[in-house]
Amino acid sequence: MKSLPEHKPRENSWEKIMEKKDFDFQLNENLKKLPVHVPSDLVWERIEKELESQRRIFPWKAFSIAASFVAFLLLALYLSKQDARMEDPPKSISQVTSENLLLENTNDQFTKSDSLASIPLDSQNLELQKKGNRIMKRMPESLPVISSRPSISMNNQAIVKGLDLGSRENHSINPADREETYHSVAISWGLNRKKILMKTNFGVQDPAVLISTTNEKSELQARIKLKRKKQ
Amino acid sequence: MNQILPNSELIERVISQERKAQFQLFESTKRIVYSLAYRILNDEDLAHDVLQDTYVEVFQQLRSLKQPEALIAWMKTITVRKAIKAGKKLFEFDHLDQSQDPPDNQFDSWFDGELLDQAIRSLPPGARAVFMLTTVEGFSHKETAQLLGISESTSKSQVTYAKKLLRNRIQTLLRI
Repeated sequence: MKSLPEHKPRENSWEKIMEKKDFDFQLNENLKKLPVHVPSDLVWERIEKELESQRRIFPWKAFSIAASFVAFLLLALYLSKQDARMEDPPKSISQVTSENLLLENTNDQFTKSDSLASIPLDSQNLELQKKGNRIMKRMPESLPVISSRPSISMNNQAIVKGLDLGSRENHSINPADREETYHSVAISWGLNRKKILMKTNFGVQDPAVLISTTNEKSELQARIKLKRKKQ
Repeated sequence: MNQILPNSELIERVISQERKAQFQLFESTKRIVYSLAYRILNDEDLAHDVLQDTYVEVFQQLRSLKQPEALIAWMKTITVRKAIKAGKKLFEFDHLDQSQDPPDNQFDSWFDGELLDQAIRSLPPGARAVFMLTTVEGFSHKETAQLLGISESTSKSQVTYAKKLLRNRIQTLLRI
């Protein structure tokens, strides 16, 4: 061993050592050698509990989302049915409310053409104004089917008034009133819809004929007589 | 350190919520996560809370990780975020008065990782968080500023401040 030769280090060896003693150098080197800290063994149990509780919550979340979706669908279905009910096509015969009847009865004069023109079309969303500025919204209506009978020519305007049922029994045709004819109009209204809401028998001179042709007495709620106005 | 880096097969099993695989991933990485949280917060209880929250999120969100090789970096980012959230009230970034800085004398001592760890944990919370994020974990000053809600210049000055404190603390610890 003593015979082994000695080797001389480099001249800058000390400087190299001092460089390694530099704070920043040591800092960078030792950051890679920071000790490892070990957590408690109980942590995994806490993590498992947390995962289990989250797993239990999740199905309820999914269920609540599904339930709200179904509820939304049911609500949409209900609303669409409501809309469909509101938009039902009108019946072929006009639905006349008692207020309408009152208004028409109070008209002193009207002609047939006027009465037809006063019936609103489906496309018209007509609002009728009553006394006291009360506004009633009418249901969509359609023109009634007009009988194939030849139209009555009325030179003068007609008077609308209630039918005196008492006088009907003793009615006799006066030759002077040949031009006078009786018309029976059956109108029903109310919450329950009838197949026939307005029925007319017109063009007879004897009111007894009107009675005999009317077989819906139970549903009949009003009668009016149209009488040609005498000159 | 008995650390088995997670492979793609293990990650797939964790994604499918296999409890055994989750435990395997936890065992192989818990020291990295806990050490990071503990060093940022210097509080064992808070660090354990961060550890728990981190793994719950990792197990739930792992399927969103595109690159399996980035798993550890991804977990560290989650840990940093959780630790910052847990220690938000502790972090204060006072205006640094240069006149109070310690003199920049020649450092003439040797120290190791253990001593450095002690010195890091003795830093003020704000400076410690910035030092851990930038110098130890390699976040940029911009990223650190965003994570901690401070300016980039504050991040830089806090690192300088932390290094000066570390130098003094280590010398003090060596004298004890």
